[in-house]
Amino acid sequence: MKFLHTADWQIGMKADFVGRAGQRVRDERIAAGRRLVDAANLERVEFILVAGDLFEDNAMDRTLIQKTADILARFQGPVYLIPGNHDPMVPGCVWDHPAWRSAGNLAILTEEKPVEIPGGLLFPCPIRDKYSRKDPTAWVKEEKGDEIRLGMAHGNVEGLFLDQADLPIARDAASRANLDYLALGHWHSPATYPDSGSVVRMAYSGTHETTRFGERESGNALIIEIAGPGSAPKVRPIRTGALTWINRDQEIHAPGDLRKLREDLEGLTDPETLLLDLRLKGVIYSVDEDELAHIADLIASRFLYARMDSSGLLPSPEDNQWIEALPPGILQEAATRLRRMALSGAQNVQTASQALLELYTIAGEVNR
Amino acid sequence: MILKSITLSGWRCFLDEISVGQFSDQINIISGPNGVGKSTLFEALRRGLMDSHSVTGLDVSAIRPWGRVLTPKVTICFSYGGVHYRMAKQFLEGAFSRLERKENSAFRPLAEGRQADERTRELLSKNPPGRGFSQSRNWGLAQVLWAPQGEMKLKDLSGDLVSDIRTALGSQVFDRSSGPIEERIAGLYDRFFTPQGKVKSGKAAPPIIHLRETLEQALQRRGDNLETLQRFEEASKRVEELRARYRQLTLEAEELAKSVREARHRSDDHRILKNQINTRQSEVEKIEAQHRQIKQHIDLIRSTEKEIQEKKTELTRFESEAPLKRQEVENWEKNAAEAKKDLDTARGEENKVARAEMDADTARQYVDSKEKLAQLSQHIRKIEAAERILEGHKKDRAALVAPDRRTLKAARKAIQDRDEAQVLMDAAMITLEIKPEKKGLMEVISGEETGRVKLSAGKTAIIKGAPEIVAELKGVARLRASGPAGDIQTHRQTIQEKDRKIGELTRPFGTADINRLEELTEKAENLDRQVGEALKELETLLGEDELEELKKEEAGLGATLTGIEKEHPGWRKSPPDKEELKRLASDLKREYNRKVKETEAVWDGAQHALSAAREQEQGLLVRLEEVRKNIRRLEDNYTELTRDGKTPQERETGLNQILLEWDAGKAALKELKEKLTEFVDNPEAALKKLEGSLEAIQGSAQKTRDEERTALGSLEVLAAKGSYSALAQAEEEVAQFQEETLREELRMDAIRLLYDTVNQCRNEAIASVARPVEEMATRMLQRIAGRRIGRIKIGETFEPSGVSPEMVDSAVELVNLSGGEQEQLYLATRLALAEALAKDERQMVVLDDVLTATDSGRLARVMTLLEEAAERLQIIILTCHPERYRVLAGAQFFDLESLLKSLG
Repeated sequence: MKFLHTADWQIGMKADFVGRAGQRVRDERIAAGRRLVDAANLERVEFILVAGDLFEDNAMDRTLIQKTADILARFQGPVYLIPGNHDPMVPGCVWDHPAWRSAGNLAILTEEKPVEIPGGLLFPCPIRDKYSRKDPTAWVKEEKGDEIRLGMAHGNVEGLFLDQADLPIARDAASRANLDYLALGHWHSPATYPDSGSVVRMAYSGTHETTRFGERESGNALIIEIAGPGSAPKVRPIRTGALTWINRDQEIHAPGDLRKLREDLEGLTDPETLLLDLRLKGVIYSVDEDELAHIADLIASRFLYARMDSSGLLPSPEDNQWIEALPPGILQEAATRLRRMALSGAQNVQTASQALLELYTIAGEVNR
Repeated sequence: MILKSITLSGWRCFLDEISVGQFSDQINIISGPNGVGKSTLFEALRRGLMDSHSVTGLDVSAIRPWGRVLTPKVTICFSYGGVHYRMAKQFLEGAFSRLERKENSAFRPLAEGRQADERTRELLSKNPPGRGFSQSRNWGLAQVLWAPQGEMKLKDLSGDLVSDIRTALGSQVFDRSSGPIEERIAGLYDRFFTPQGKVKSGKAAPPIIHLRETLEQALQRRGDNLETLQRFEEASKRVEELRARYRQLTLEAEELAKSVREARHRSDDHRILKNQINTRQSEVEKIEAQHRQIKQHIDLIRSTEKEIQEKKTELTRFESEAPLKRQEVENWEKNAAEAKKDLDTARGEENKVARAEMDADTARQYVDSKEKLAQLSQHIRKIEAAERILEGHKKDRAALVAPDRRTLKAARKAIQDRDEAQVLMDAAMITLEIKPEKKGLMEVISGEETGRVKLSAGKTAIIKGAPEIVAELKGVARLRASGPAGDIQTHRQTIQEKDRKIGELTRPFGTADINRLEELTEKAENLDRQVGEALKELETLLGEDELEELKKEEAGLGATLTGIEKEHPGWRKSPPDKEELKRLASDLKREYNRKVKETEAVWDGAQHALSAAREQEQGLLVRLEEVRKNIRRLEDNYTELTRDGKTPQERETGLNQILLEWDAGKAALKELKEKLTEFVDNPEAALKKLEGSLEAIQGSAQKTRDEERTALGSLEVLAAKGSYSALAQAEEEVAQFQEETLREELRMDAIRLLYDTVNQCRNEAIASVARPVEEMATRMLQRIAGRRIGRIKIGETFEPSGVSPEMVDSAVELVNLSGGEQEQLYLATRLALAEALAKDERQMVVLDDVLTATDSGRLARVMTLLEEAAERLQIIILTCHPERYRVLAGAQFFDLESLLKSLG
């Protein structure tokens, strides 16, 4: 049997950390869904398993539900879905939408009952509560059979994080239930769990499109091939995500560092699919003030989303030149005081730095 | 600014046009006595330079000359920044304003109307307020440079002036090249903040305001969406709870239904058993009834036989008693008849008794009536006597015509008045007494009584008259006697009037003698009193009775007595003894009653015995008849009872058989009842209770189902809103706006910090500049007043706040200085400030009648300072003491009084 394992599409998720780019990020998740279904069709998998959290919340815009159902309906085979902790099976949930009934190939598995699937048996573990201390796979009994046994569950594999007591899934859930493969959802980065025989029988597919900065290796689905009951599954990731999330901490020490950074940023390809979180730290020289403004303009205009935190940049203590160039008297005194404030490490350091920057800018404009 | 000349007309005391000038650039003294118009000139200068030409109000109307309708007008020539200007202004009617500038030796129009006003003000003050020039704090630099009369003190300097002074002083100290940068900083600051440091609002609001508003709205939307999402989740929970509850209730209902079925089976069994018991019970009762019936039949036959026998015995007895009873009745009838006869005899004596009683009563009535008649007659006699007396008194009174007291009083008064009039008349009358020695005849021609009067020798003849007496003694003399003219006529009239009145009053009484009248009156009063007493006596005798009624009663009694005497003629002569008669009647009656009672008792006894005997006889006959009837009836019953033809043995046998059946039925019933006791509770009641509980649970389940449907409806509505999606969008917006707001706030804080830092630096620099002003003012004051006062303390606003004498550690307030010293202090401060302000531009200082409290010694020192100041300042002094300023070298004097005179 060959199938595609995916989970955690989180359709409709909010992305408040990327400001106005949030809607674009949401749209990309739907586009990634299309790519996934196209990939599944191209790979000629027999069915798709969606292991929970297809949607971010049950109170989703209903048109998104229809849209998602339509995307999945384009697959040429059956799609088996279980509710996750974000879209649990509760009254008013997304699964009540008539879209699931009108599409003939979509099966929402809401009961703890084995389901016959092409080439085997599927043991779904639907989630009925946002929070639960119960192992959703506990109902699956070990039974010997002559068909491939698959499981689909959503939760935390024990040992993942010590403080995650929610929806615990035993580390040996697959072998305990005699499952050939247990498709997992909940964590957005892919992960595999080899059994005692080093055979991967449990895996998180991860989310099909990266959801935030710092998310490791997300934006994929898994293609699983199992030759027969008891065979070791072949697990292969396929890329489905399109966005690139770049998290960058940059140290600025010398004049010109900012220029290099700018050039670097200018060199990034496909900026319209890039989200950038840039943090600058170090010292800034007066000659680089323009460069900083240039970078600010660049990131504001070129990328899908970008933010720059330059609060870590302080005026260089050795950089007196521009202050000496100011008219003597009040202005020089004011500039000196502001720099002192900016270097003092007091609470208003950032304000003082900004004030100094304003003075520098005005002086520069007047002198021009 | 330097004043060149000033021309005004139609302004208070200046009716015609007057021109003062050309002023020198240094010291100018404008002098004149009080009221000549010095201060008016100063006022015209101020209004001309600062007021709007279109200003209205009582204030400006007051500059019009008293009692005239002229339009005030002023023209001021001045120079500023090396340029000559001419400002012409007219107020009130036809108000206008025109500013001209000298170009190519000729004045050319520069501005008119409001623009002219504003341009002029701008020359004198950087930020002219536009109104309120009546207050010196709105004069700009002139507030320091010009001291109106009595206002030498520097106080309430406007913020703009202080700022201008600082600017003026600062511009001399700091680098000009910093100006553009500072302006840019100020401009940048001004974009965001008000001068008071608050963030601008309204149309000029910076982007942060809009950002904050937008953020607020986004937060609001987020709040709303969050609330909707929470409601959605609550609705979902509610539906879930209701479903769980419905499931629970359904399970409970199923359990309960099972119990109900079991209870129903038990109930059915119980009911069947009870029915069997009831059936068996009925059968047993039926058999018992049969047994009882048969037994009763047999008993009845037996008892009937017995009864027949008894009755026959009784019949025999009664038939033997009947004749005896008859005999008894006859005996008692005879006795009763005898007793009745005796009774009738006794009763026959009744009339005798009645008659005796009647006689006794009549005797009593006769005796009583006779007594009463005698008393009544006596009483009537008394009354009649009293009537007669009364009549007599009345007659006497009627016969007496006498005046009442009122009339008497009136008569007395009239008599008195008359007598008085008479006396007066007599007094007014002339009296002539003639005592002839021989007889003669006198003719009274004029007098009270005229005519002849015989004269007798030795007999005095009195002649009265008024106003004169004229008498003639024939052949002897004519006598005339006259006296004082009195009002004889009035008195006479009075006398006549009174006489007439007396006559009226006394005529009915036949006398006018007052004494007689009094007697009559007393007599009449006596008679009245007697009449009253007689009447009272009569009333007492009558009481409430009428005499006629008493007489009728008397007559009645007389008739009664006559009637009785007719029946008892002997009584007329010998009246009966009513007591004796009464006693006899009583005895008779007593005897009669005794006899009657006795015979009645006997008769009653006989009647009772007879009645009783009759009753008994009747009863006996009735019983006899009854017994016969009963015997017949019993015999009929017996025939009926034995109609079936059975023998007694046969009946006994049937009875025993029924008894056996009855016993068998009772045994079977007992068995069934024992089975019933196995049911410990009431199955029907238990079933009803369970059915009730089941119905209640089913009802709850249905209700829960309905609630679930309703909740589901609400949930679907909320789900359709897609609140999470809306919330996601709102939160993204909030995050975006918050970031932008923070960024903008950082920028604004930075701009404020930059601005404040620059200002702080400037103020510190300026503070260092203000010190020279303080030092200069102090030096000036010390040159005037000596070192005693010490150092002038000038505050940030350039107003003197105190002095620091050398011998004192702390500052001394200015109120502690004398009036003259204060004058001198303020003059020194004004001059020091003026000199500081005049570094770039020569300034005009105007002093209107100042230093009035300064002594001549110090004044001389002031003159020296003025001369020195005149090298940098134009000084214009208005005074009524020009002589004080004669010592000033180079001073130009303008005598206003002479000027006015010269104008004619």
